[in-house]
Amino acid sequence: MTFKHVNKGIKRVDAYEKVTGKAKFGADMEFADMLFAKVLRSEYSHAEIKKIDVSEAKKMPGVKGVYTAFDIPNNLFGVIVQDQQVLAKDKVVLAGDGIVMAAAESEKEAAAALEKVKVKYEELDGIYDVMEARKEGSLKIHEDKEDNQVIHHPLRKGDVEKGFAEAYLILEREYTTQLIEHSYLEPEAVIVVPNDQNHLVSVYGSIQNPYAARSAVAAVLGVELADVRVIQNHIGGSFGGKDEVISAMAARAAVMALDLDRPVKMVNTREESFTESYKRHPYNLKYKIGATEDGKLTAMEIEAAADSGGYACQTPFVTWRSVVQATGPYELDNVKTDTYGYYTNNPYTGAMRGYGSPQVIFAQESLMDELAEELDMSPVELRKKNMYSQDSVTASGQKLDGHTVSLAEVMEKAMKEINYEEKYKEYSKEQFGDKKRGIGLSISFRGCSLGAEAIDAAASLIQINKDGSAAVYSGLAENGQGLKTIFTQITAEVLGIRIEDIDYMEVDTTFTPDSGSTVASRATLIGGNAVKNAAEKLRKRIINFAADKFDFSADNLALKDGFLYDESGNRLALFSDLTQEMGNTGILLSAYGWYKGPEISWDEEKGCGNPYFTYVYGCQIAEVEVDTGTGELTILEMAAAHDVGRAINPANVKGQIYGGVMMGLGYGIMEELEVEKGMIKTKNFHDYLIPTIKDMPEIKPIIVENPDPDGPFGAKSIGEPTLELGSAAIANAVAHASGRRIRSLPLNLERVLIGRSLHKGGK
Amino acid sequence: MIDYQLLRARSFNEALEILESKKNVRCLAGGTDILVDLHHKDEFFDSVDYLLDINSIDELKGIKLGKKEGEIGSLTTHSEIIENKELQEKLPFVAAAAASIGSTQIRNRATIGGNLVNAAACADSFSPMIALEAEVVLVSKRGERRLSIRDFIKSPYKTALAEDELLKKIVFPMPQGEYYSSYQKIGRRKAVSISRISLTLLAEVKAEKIVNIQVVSGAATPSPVPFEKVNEYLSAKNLAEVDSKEAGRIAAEEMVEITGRRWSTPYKQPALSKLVERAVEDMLEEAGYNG
Amino acid sequence: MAKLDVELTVNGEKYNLKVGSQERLLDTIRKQLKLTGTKEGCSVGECGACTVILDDKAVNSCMVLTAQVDGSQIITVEGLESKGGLHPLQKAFIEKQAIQCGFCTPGMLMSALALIKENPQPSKEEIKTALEGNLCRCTGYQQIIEAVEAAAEEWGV
Ligand SMILES: Cc1cc2nc3c(=O)[nH]c(=O)nc-3n(C[C@H](O)[C@H](O)[C@H](O)COP(=O)(O)OP(=O)(O)OC[C@H]3O[C@@H](n4cnc5c(N)ncnc54)[C@H](O)[C@@H]3O)c2cc1C
Ligand code: FES
Ligand code: FES
Repeated sequence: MTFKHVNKGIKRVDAYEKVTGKAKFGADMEFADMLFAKVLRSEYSHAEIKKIDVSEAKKMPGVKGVYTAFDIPNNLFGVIVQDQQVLAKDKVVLAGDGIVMAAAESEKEAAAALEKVKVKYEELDGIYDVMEARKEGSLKIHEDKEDNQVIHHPLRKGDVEKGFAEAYLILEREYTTQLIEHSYLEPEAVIVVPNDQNHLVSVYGSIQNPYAARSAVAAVLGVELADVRVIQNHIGGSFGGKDEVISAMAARAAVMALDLDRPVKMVNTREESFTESYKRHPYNLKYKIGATEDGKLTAMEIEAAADSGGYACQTPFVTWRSVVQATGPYELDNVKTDTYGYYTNNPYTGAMRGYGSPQVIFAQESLMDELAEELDMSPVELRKKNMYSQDSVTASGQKLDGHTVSLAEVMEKAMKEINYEEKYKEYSKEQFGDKKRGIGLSISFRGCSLGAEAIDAAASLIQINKDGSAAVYSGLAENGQGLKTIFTQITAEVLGIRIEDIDYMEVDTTFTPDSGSTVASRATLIGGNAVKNAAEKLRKRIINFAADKFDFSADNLALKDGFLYDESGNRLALFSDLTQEMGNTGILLSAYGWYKGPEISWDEEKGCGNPYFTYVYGCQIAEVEVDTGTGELTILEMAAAHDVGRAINPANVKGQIYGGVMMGLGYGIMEELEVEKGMIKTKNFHDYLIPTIKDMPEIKPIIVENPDPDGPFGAKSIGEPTLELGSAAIANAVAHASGRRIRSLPLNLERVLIGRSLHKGGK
Repeated sequence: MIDYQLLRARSFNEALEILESKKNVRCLAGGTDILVDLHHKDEFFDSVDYLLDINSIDELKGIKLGKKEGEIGSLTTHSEIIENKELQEKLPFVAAAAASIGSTQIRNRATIGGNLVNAAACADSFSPMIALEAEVVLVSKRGERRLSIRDFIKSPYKTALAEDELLKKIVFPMPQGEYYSSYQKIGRRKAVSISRISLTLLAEVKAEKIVNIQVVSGAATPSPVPFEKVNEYLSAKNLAEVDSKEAGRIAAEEMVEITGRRWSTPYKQPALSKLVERAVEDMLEEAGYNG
Repeated sequence: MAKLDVELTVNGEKYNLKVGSQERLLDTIRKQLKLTGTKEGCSVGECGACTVILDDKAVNSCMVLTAQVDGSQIITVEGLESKGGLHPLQKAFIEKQAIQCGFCTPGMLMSALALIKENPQPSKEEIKTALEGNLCRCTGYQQIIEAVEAAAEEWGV
């Protein structure tokens, strides 16, 4: 198939604003008469609040209002479990809990007022280790709950006892992953304008999921959804991170804005962002794997425990993705997995690019290399013997038959690009000197979109003006990933008009139907289908009109490049003339589009079903140099092959790969949030390190295209798969280079040199 | 609440007068330490009533490398140090240390004087300056005094700078004859990275014999100091007799003697040993002594 | 505390301002001059989102007090586009898809501009050194390097 706009690396439609500084982000917005607000956060990670005295704060210059939980109509919210406090009332359960908020004429005055607040706490013993949290009879963090368990997802297939009995070799290993921060470059910002254009409140800011923010604000205020309007601004990165934390901020600002009847702006400093925002779940992972002598897997048993922190947030869904991906893309008749989430008094954890997959992939792809070594087999050979191919059945019993299972293809392409075989041989020989090289790989399959987590549907709205220009609205949000461009391309392709004639609108909850969240790498797949649906409705309407007018069969007409053509390629009319005429004739030139994903199923009790309607496949390979004298690690080269179905915009896909690989690299070798008794120690980019341009290896992106029957023009996903594979590939390469197997992330100086991590105050 | 008045000195003399006449004055050079403190509302500001911007004082700027003596003005930025061709050639380890500091933007503002007066344990300018046996020139209305850098630094974040004094420049004897050097740094990433461990080696060699040696720690010890035992070991040795591994071993042992066993020792001990070994090997290689 | 008089030339325009003792160049640019293209990402010199050009050098505007730079010339991202259209660097950033969320972009452009002005034909390593103080969480940097290389080729002489 040849395309005009789709499958092309066209320029981003929002690029001009972004290179000129004209793009307005949350912190850049101003409203007349605006106030500024700040929040006082807890001094402890677990404590009872005995008394809050705000009297002095109220007297401070410039202060307009000082508020506690008692001023908030409904203090609890949460997408899955309503356990998150807008402001802590009687008890704080984590260090990021806000207690008091103040609005003043300036940010400085609001902050100064909060310094005058006196809070009397009674510190409580806390739980800071997920293994401690799960112990029977351990201290309960939420009194109304039975215990600290947030969720348990079991999965049973076949008979693991039998499988292990058949095994020639059984390996048992434990892995751990760390707490990390999204580190979007823009700290959170919201502005709430009260009594704005017929709405009780309008919310602006760096909002990843406008509908979730709207629900939270409406619930907290106790008003109808229609009273709350959320308008998205340019957002400086999110990666799953600007969801619940923004909801809380928006709810707080809304309470103040309504009380004071003035717009209220809240912008976090980086330290506030680190303190308050949720993180990526740390996991403790226990794996047991059995294999025959020639490397066929016989059974896998997995126990994964995720630290949810003080709130449930998205733990039930994050851990659910882990269940499906925990065995990796390998055929197994006998599987037993138990995935748990527990409350602790650590920072709470939620969605972050990858969701529950990077943790399990690190463990399971490390384990495959360990097993290969034990079996005296190459890592590639072992994988090839066991990995999914067309019509394979997954651990949950799903037959992979609706789409192309391309594991072999992505693996082969990545290996070729980086010259894997040759390097593997070369680096397997004895190496002299301190600096040793190695190469390692990892592969994955990943369910696209939400899966059985929630209803998977999205809407769009396209309005064509009489002059042939068009506006596209979608319920899914540009997070920087390039959605506006993708949707514009799809619209242009279907309607046969120019990219320049299309205006892409920011999400406005009042104009587009709720489309769920921009998460799970679902926007192109689900949202793209919705846009395509609207565009197709309009195309049909226009073609039918033209068929009537020119007395042609509709089947013989086409819209292209802003013209109407007949089957032999004669131009019959300008697109804009047609729309002009249609408009003047009173024909509606707008259409809503809607798309609901195909049927899926999940039995939560047994852990079986068809959890996703399609999957993507990826392979990443890392070539590293380990300085065995100092523990320094250099990632020399990385190849990343990803099957995206179809790349609507290949340049964009490459950007996703480069970015995801670097984020995975940070996760793998340097990032770690230090927490001591629940208090965050690393609160800015001087002590929480993310990769710089100098840490970048040579990255080789490989786009593999096997169009999916359900994707718009065959497109699937790319955002998250790019990040989930890197840490395992790097750990495998490090083991190959140095012989040291590191089972905990990150692979920092200490772990690489002496095999364990060191902490201040530790032994 | 931080509350200070910013003052701008238009001349060297005016700066000294302000320092003499007012209390609780701190100089403001590149600001890359002070503005971080300002953001953190650091206790540094508890005793600051005035910040004195010294950026327009020409007497504090510039690099002069003579035959016998060299000097670097306190307001010289790390970028200026890196870009100075003569310095690059004659004192490559000083340039290497400067290049390892912060980012381009930071190096364009941050000064060597600020780095020394701030006196963080990980400050990267100390080890090359101690290796050069440099002295700081401190000036006040009361006069001028010189102090060896080792005496200047008292403990982390504490120096011998008096309330009314300004650091004018750093002066040092130029290494003579045949000399070799090495600067080593380990950080947690490849750029904008605070030293976990760093060190400078500077050796003067005559007729294949080490006649003057300075191996100086950075970040490995609470304050940067020469490794006396390593220096002793290398001193007066013929290059042919030098065992780089042994030098490394001695250095690591000496570090533990200075710091005691700490949480970070299991890492720092082998890593420092390796860095010293590499620095010694650099020297040997430059001198044409390695394989 | 007494305010201080400062004269600045920003993007070719002269401003006479009164600033406080704690006012950072970043505050002046964003709040007094309303040039919000310059971003604040960390406030401690680590992220580079606030990078501007101060007398031909790239600096973190969060690390400079405005009163320190009386009489200086400053360029911000808003100063790049001229009547003649986009600057070659801006065009290259668009062309090479060097932008995702765009929050780091203004700072990146300023660091790149300072580099190419001083060194019209930078090597890849020199580009990396010039941009090492600019964090980007989205792009993985590759397309940014390509953009700077392309811009230097087209414009640098
Ligand atoms: C992002 C970032 C990265 C960094 N990376 C590094 C690094 O890798 N290595 C490193 O060593 N440092 C690093 N630093 C710290 C800092 O940049 C250096 O210490 C710098 O050299 C300080 O110089 P300055 O001119 O900015 O000092 P300022 O902040 O202006 O002053 C620092 C101190 O010195 C005093 N002072 C300055 N000049 C004089 C003078 N002439 N007389 C008397 N007192 C004076 C001031 O009163 C103040 O107490 C980094 C800082 C940042 C923000
Ligand atoms: S805001 Fe200035 S460097 Fe981050
Ligand atoms: S594009 Fe988002 S931080 Fe660089």
